[in-house]
Formats: sequence, structure tokens, C-alpha cells
Amino acid sequence: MSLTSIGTLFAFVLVCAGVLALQQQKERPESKFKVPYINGQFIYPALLIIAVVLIVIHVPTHFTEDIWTKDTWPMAIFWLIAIIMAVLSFIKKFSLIPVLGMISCFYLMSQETHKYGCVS
Amino acid sequence: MANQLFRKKSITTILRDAEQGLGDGHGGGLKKVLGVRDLTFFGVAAIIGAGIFSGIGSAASSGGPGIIFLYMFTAVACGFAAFCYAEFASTVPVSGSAYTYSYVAFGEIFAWVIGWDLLMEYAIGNIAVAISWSDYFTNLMTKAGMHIPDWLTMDYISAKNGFANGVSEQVAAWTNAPQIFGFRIIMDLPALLIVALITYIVFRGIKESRSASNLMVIIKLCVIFFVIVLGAYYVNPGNWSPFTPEGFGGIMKGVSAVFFAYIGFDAISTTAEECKNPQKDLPRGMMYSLIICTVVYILLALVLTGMVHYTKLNVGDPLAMVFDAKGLKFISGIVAVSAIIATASVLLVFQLGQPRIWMSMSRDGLLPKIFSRIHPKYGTPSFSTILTGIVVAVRLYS
Repeated sequence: MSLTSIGTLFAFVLVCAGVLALQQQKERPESKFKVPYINGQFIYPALLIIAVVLIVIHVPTHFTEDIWTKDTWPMAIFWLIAIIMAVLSFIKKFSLIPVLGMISCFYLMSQETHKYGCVS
Repeated sequence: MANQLFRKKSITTILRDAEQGLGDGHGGGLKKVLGVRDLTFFGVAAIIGAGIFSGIGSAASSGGPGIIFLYMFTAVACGFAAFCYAEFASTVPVSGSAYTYSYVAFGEIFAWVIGWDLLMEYAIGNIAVAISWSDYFTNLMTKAGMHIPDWLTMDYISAKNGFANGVSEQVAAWTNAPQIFGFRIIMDLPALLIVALITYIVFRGIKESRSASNLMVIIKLCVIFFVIVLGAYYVNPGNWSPFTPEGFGGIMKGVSAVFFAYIGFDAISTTAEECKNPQKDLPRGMMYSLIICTVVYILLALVLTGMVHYTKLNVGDPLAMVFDAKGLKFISGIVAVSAIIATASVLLVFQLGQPRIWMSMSRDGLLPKIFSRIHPKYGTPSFSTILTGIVVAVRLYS
């Protein structure tokens, strides 16, 4: 069951990333439906900072201890990806919706890999 | 070499290949018959499986009534992904789904990886769905007083292993099974039959598949609607306060179960070449099916947590449990029948999706040509469809 979910999430991530890649192409192909473009340059990094601040306030041990154990490495990788995406969004002005789609899928992947729910 | 691996296909080439794929064979190609209603129903068919009741029950038991916020949040997250699928489906209306989209965006090597990822996902998923269909069916038959012999309801390997480990059901199956030349006949007959039936419908044509899917979805939604309306009479609002007894952490514990409930809307993008107007209808079909399912899940979660205290919901069949407690025993029978239909509809959409991804991979030369052969009369990828059935059936037997 969990294997199927991870495969699906992997496909979702690639499709979201694919939309970002299409937007970077000089000649974006014709399409009757386009993901509405919201510039994520500032919004996404701001959302990430808010999330981090909230977690530090409510679960002070999350970044100092919780994610550094043997079982919780997927969560550490999730935060790494979230930060990399923030930098890329800032530089390349990524569209917000695919970025949020990707991040949600990465979060769910980290939850599927270990089931401790350490964002509590 | 590196260029070869990252070779991308232009959208015009992909569309032209698809056109040619439609043309070759002997006259007939895929049939363009699906409209937005059919696509929405395919989506609902794939998303709402039989597991929804137990999924809602287990998520609600850890998070309380506030679990509906998680359903909303997950729907939005899936909605973001659905937006991206929709853009691709409208840009490259070809049956390969994420496989074709990756080919356009990232090149052949990514497409190859995601193609196999999708095939594994579909194959494992279909087998699991077929087995759970068999379980629901066997249980219903037992309830109706017709017990199917154990050796006809499980696969050979698990019977053998279970016998070695002394699991009572498996031991009974192993010892009672008839033997031919010393070889015990043990198989999951209900699962094999449903796979054969579904494969036949999918092989026979997209129109037949559409009718079957629409019918099953209508039955499924009617049962759910009936359950919600009936359950609403028994709701005690006291059970809803406090609304989020376990806080944010308790709600987030259900995140995997809730996400699993939304898987499947992407499968409809594999029917792109059978839509009348894929560029407009596919995006809509995905969105509508996500919205319908979100509303259904939220209402069901509210009814379940309103009827009994959320802490009692962590059981295999919470719906039957809550209605049994109110003295409405017949509900569990209706739910059991609808579970069989719901599971069959999930299997139908996934058995429909897999051969179409094979077909797209074969056109690009990543699989032998025979995988993209279209049946001259029925207009379906004939070889791939039958092979899809065989792959699941073989796994069921061994």
C-alpha cells in the first residue's frame, strides 16, 4: 500500500516539476489550460519562514533533536528540499501552484517513509 | 550518448506519433467517445474505493471530527498536482499520462524511469485491489450463508506458507484442497474471475468500459448519499464538541490514510486519446472528480463522528458498526454490496490505464511494437489489455 502511494507521489512530483520546466522554456507550448501563474518569488519563501517560525515556537525540539534521529531522516531531507525550492523560487520566479504541489507531495512522501508524524 | 538519454520529444512529434499510432493496424484506431461527464465518473470510480469507510474511521479516531480540515487540506494539495496534470493533459493530449509529460519536459531517461514506476504502481495496485475485492466478496457470500471453500479464496504461496506456519485458515485450505498428480489446487477464484471480467470489458471497448464505470459510480454515489442522509438523522451534535480534541498533531496522524483516499484522479489522463475534446474536458474531469470526492469525504466524516464518539471509530468497518449500534443491521449488507461495486470500479479504471501507458511507451520504442497494436474492431490496445489481465492473474495464482 505504502509502495503504491510513494510511486504515485513520485509521479505527481515529476508532473509538477514538469510544469515548472515548461514555464522556463523560451517558447512555452500552446495550451488551452494553463496553471494560473502566481509569482512565487516572495510568497513561497515567506510561507516557508512562517512555517519554520510556527514550528520553532510550538515544537522547540523539532529542528534541534526530532529530525536528527535514525528513523526521521526523511523529514530532514524534506526540510532540505523545502529550502532548496525556496532558493530556486526566489532566483527563477517559479510559479507558486506547482511549487506548493511539489512540496506537499514531498511532505507526504516523508510521512509515508516513516509514520511518526513528527510535525506535531 | 548523454544527449541521447536526455533526448526530448517535441510536442508536435508526440502528437504526430499518436496520430500515426491511431492510423496503423487495419483501419480502426482508438475511439473518441468520452465526454466530461464520463471522465468525471472515471475519476470518481478510481478515487472512491471500498477502503474509504475504514480510512475515514481510522483517520477520525486519531484526529476527531476536525479530520475534515485534513481532508480539505489534502484535497487542495492534490488540487495543485491536478492543476499540473491538467495543463499537461491539455498541452499533450496523449494516453501516456505522467510518462508522456516527463518525455516532453525532461527527456527520455526520466520518461523511462517514470514509465516503469507507473507500471509497477499500477500492477501492484491492481493486484491489491483484486485481492481485496475477493475478500469483500467472500465475506458477503459467507454472510449470505454460502461459504466458498478456503482453497478457492487464497493464492498457492500464501496457503503453503500459512500451512507451514500453522495459520488455521491456510491449514484448512492446504489440507482440503483437491490434488491432481500430487499438486494441490489452490487459487483465489473470485479474484481471478473479477480480473477476467474486467479485462474482458476493457478489451471489448471504451464505450462498454464507460457504461460499466458510469453505472457502478451511480450505484456507489447513491449508496453513499443514502448513508449520509440516513446517518444525519442520528447525529448527536454533542459528539462534535470539542471539534479538534487531539489538536493539530492528532489530525496530522491521519495524513497518509487521507492522502490514499485521493489517489486515482491522475488515471483518467490515460484516456486522453479517447476523449472527444481532451484539451477542455480532461482538466475539468479531474477537477470535478476531486471536488465531488472531497464533498463526499467531508460529509461522511461529519456523519461518522457525529453518530458515535470519534474514539470508537478505529474498527475495520466503522459504517456497519455505527449503524448496527443504532439497530439498523440491514445497512451493513448494503455497505458490503457497495464495497464490491466500488472495488470493481477502481479495478476497471486501473486496468484501463495500464495498457494505455504501455501503448505510449511502445510507440516511443521503449517496448516492442506489439504493445501498441489496436484491435481493428473494438478499438482498444488489444495485446496490452490482455497482458495487463494476465500479469495480475499470474500474480494471483503464484
